Amino acid sequence: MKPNDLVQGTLGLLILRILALEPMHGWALSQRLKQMSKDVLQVGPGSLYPALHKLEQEGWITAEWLISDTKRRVKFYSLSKEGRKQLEAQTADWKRLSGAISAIVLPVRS
Amino acid sequence: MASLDTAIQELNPKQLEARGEQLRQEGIVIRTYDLWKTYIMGDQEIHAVSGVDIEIRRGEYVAIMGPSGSGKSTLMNLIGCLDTPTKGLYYLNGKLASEMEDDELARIRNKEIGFVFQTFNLLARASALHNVELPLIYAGISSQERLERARRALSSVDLEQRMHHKPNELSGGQRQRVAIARALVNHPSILLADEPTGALDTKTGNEIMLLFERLHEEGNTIVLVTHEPDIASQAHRIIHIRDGKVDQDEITSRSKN
Amino acid sequence: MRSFRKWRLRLRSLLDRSQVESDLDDELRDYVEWEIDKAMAAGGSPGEARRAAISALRGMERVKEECRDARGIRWFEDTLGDLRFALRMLRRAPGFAAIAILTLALGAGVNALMFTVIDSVLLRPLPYPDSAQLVSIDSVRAGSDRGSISLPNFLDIRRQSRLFSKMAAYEENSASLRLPSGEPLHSSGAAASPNLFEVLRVRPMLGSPFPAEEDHAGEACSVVLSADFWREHLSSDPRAIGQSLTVDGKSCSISGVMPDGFAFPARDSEFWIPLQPAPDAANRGASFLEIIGRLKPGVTLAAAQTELKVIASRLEKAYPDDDNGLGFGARFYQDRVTGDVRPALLALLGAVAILLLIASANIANLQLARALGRKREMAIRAALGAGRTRVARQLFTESILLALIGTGAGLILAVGSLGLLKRIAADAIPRVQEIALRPEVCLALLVIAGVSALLFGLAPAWQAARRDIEAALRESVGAVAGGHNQQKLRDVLVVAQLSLTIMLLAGSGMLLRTLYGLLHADAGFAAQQVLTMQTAVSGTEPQDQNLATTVYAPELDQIEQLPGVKVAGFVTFLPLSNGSASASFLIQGRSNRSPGSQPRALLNAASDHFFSALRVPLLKGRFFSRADTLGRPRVAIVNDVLARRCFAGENPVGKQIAFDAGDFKTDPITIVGVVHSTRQTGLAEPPDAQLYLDFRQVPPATLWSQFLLKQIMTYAVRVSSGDPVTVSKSVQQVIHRVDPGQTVFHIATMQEVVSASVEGRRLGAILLSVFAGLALVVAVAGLYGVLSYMVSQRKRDIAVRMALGASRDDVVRMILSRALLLYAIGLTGGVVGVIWCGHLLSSMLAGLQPWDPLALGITTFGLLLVCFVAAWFPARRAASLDPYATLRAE
Ligand SMILES: Nc1ncnc2c1ncn2[C@@H]1O[C@H](COP(=O)(O)OP(=O)(O)OP(=O)(O)O)[C@@H](O)[C@H]1O
Ligand SMILES: [Mg+2]
Repeated sequence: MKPNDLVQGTLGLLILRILALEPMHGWALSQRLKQMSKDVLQVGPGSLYPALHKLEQEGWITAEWLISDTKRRVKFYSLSKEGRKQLEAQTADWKRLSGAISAIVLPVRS
Repeated sequence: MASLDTAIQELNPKQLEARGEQLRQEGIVIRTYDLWKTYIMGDQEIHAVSGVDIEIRRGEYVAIMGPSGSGKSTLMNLIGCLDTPTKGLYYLNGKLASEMEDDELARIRNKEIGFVFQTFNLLARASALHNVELPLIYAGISSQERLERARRALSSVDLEQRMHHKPNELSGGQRQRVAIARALVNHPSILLADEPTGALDTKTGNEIMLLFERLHEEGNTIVLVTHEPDIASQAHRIIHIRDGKVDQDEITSRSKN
Repeated sequence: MRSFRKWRLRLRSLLDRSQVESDLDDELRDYVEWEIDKAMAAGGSPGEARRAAISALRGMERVKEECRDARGIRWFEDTLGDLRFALRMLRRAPGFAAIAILTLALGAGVNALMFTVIDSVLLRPLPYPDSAQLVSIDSVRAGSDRGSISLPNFLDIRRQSRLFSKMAAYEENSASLRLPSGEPLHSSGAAASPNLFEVLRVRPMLGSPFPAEEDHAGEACSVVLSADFWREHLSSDPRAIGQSLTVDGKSCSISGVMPDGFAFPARDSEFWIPLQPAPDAANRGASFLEIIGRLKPGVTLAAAQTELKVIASRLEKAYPDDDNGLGFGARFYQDRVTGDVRPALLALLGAVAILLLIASANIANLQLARALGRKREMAIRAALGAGRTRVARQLFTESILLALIGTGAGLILAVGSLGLLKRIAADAIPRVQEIALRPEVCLALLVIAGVSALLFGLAPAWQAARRDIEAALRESVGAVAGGHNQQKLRDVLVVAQLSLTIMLLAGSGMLLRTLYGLLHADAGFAAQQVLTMQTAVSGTEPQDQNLATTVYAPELDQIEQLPGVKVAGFVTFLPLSNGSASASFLIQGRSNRSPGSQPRALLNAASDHFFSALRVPLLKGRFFSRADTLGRPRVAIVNDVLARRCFAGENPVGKQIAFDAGDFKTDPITIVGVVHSTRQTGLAEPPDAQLYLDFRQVPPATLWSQFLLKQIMTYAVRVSSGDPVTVSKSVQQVIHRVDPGQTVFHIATMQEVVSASVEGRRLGAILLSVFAGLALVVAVAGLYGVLSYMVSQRKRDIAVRMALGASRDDVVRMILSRALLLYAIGLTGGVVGVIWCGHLLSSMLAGLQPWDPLALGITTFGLLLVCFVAAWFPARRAASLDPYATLRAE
């Protein structure tokens, strides 16, 4: 599945979810997403970075420049307190929504 | 009764006056003839009170009961001269209140009626004393006497010590007692209470009811509206209202006669 | 906290663009590097790695763009959202918005107007280079006003002074000109020492200034013209330079044209000629020059004053006869130009500042009311999780929006009224042509209005938003919702508004009363049905021509023949118009006193019918008659002030006086009549001693004639009925017929002359009245708002009272007595303010009574009525409340 097909705003939820595990930089995040979704979800820089910047703007994630082992400046993102709250709220919403959707969609298939 | 209604509608002013005098002499404080209150909501007519005839004598203790929306409050406000009927006649203490002008009604409310509300309706910025004093001000009584009588009224509800407190410095029960003192201060012909215990817990409510009992024993005429059968049963007569009409008029066991 | 962070990030995006950009570059490059690393780690060749990198790099520009959007757009959207929301809120409360904006527009508008006037007139330097170095020097004698300086004294000052780089003398002048085309006209200008333009550092835009220090013989005369004159009368012809123009009969060649806007010494100065030493120029006692000097760089005014003191004492010692008691005063030339109007302008500035205060109080009141009304909205917002900062930001946006719209409207108002003001104030305010709205003023105004709107609007709203919800809930249970403190604050604001309004109203009342008093005081003459016109002979007449018998007398005779004309008179200096001249004289039969202590009187030549034309009452003796001709014994008429001063207890009629100074020496002159005094220099000035000489007896070819007849003279023509202007044409025809070279100008009825003499006062009074009227409107709107709000907030209160037996009248009485109480407190404060300000004002504005019980009484009563009306509507609304419905609604 392409991220474009994802419900609008879901990418943000996914990013928050992944950053809840540990702080990481953009590329690592895209890899982790791919790996956690068993290659179903892939996200390129074109969607990833705007989403990251938007979340940073909202104050849900914070960014910090660190120097990597290879002496490169790397921007690490981590979840803020607000972000954590947001994650909870959005997860609850998501559960409700997905429950509702499956309730409608699944019986048709069966 | 119906024949009487039509008959009374046709009386001339002199005869109406005579009827009032007769009612007064018979000790009937409240008498309504085919009393209606109709509200127009859009193109719909709501008959909040539809053709009520009741008679309440001096010294009676009456509870009005009925389901929500049955017209209890509307009736109380008509009796209390806060509102004027759409149709019908209403004698209060022998005077034809249903035909009165605004200013006369204000005077009647001031002199003849003591009102107790569910939500107390005290002036927030005024002390208990000043709240009680208020009706006396509009009665045009001198400040000396006002103070004296207000103090006496407060002490009759056991609140003399809280005289200078503001409403928000008083408990709910105390506030209602201030409201009752205010209702009594002008020695009205009748005390009207619309769900006086509605905003109070059971214990405080019972205290208030004891106070009403005492006031009744002291000779006051009392009409109160309530939802609760417990409360109503303390009255000596219960008028049941349904859909704006008198449904049932029962004398309780507490009645002495 | 969170919003603070966001702001910081956003600020960073805005301010630190390049850093943000390079961060973005780094971050994306980092991504590419990781991709390459990954490809390499997966065992791919460098080529594959490069391909991976290139594919990763593709579209990175778009990514960047989107990242930028993600950062910026939120902020933009938020702000836009806030703005849209604020607009929606304002639209939902159109009454509030309209009153707030109108109030602010009025406050800001009049302030912009006065700021602009004060900035342009008082603050902005005069349009001369380094104008702060320009200093005006006057003579000061003990016990008299500043005065002019004589030519010898001027030359001595200039020679002795070390602190001035240059110094020029000038004399305001008006002259009959004849254009190269032969057309005669009258114009005003100045005669100045030739270095005047060097002192001012302004060069002609065309041609050259006067030849340097033209020799005093004055054979070759040259004239410099104003740009306006050149355009209007010489059709902007550059060849006009070198042509000749006749000035008072003397042919002068046009040497230059000054640039636009050059207006020295007066707004209407049109020509400048070199100072021609008058025959008595060597007379140290004949003071007729004004002096302007330019300080050397770095020299202070105080230093110049000290130096002038030294020079004055030197001159006093050297010339004890003429310079006894003489001193010199120096002040900045700008102060000389604007000094007269400064107090009035500052007083008006005070008035508009007060108006702004009143307006701000109104906004504060409105905002308080709204904040309270929005308590629920705020509570819901808070419950929905909006942070306090978020709520504050929204209020902030709203206040700013209001301030911007209000101030913008105010500026438009100011620009609109500026033109009007310039037109009506043309004669009352100096430098009026320079008045223009400058961006600095707009900016200052925006800041002031913005700050006051915020202070007065945001603070109370913020406070309301912060209110303890618990307390609010508790209050509303079973008792009537309060907001007691807010109500108190609002009352205080209204009281302050009323006090300030009373001050303004009483102030304008005082000015109007003073003005009315002046216009209705006994000026010594009857102005109705009199037409006046000024004339000047061409100046080309032979020296010894008797103008009285050849020009003026025939003209007067013929004018009196005209239909509709009752009587025609003639005088050198008309009361309240073109100046005055005074001279000292001797009284025959009294011991001669020293020149300095001889009696002085305002001097005039008048015709026999002048007094009846203006209906100046004769108190004793007789008027002039036709028999008083040149050869006959000379006669004079004095006024009652002179009679009292010089002949106390005696009958002046028959007494003789004489003049003995230099060229003005005369034989004894007999006083034949005493007339009522007329106000010569101004209605507010107490009358001075006056001495009239018969115009037929002024000897031709003397300084007397130069002084009293070869002048601007004024005809005063009384008509038998109707509008005096109707005879204007025929009178001019007569004058033209008798002497075609004579110019006629400044035609006005005597009533217009009187009215023009109080122009400045009138303007001040009108402006202050307008401001006071605006203040009244705003303050009354405030009172109305407070009472309406009180009624709407205390509906339940009122319903309870009605349930307890308050009649409708009781309710009306309650609201009205509330208004009355506010009014009474406001009145007390206002009266205290009036007493305080009255003293301040009367020290600033001459002729003002500081304590005017009638004006104050009318003001108080008027305001009471207006307050009553403002309170009446809310009171009626309260009284028409349905107690049952109201109690039920809660
Ligand atoms: N001002 C009004 N306008 C329209 N309808 C009204 C108005 N006042 C009362 N009513 C209607 O009249 C009916 C009687 O109302 P009332 O308040 O008297 O009932 P109630 O018996 O006191 O009810 P509750 O026990 O809930 O207080 C209701 O249906 C109500 O909706
Ligand atoms: Mg009810």
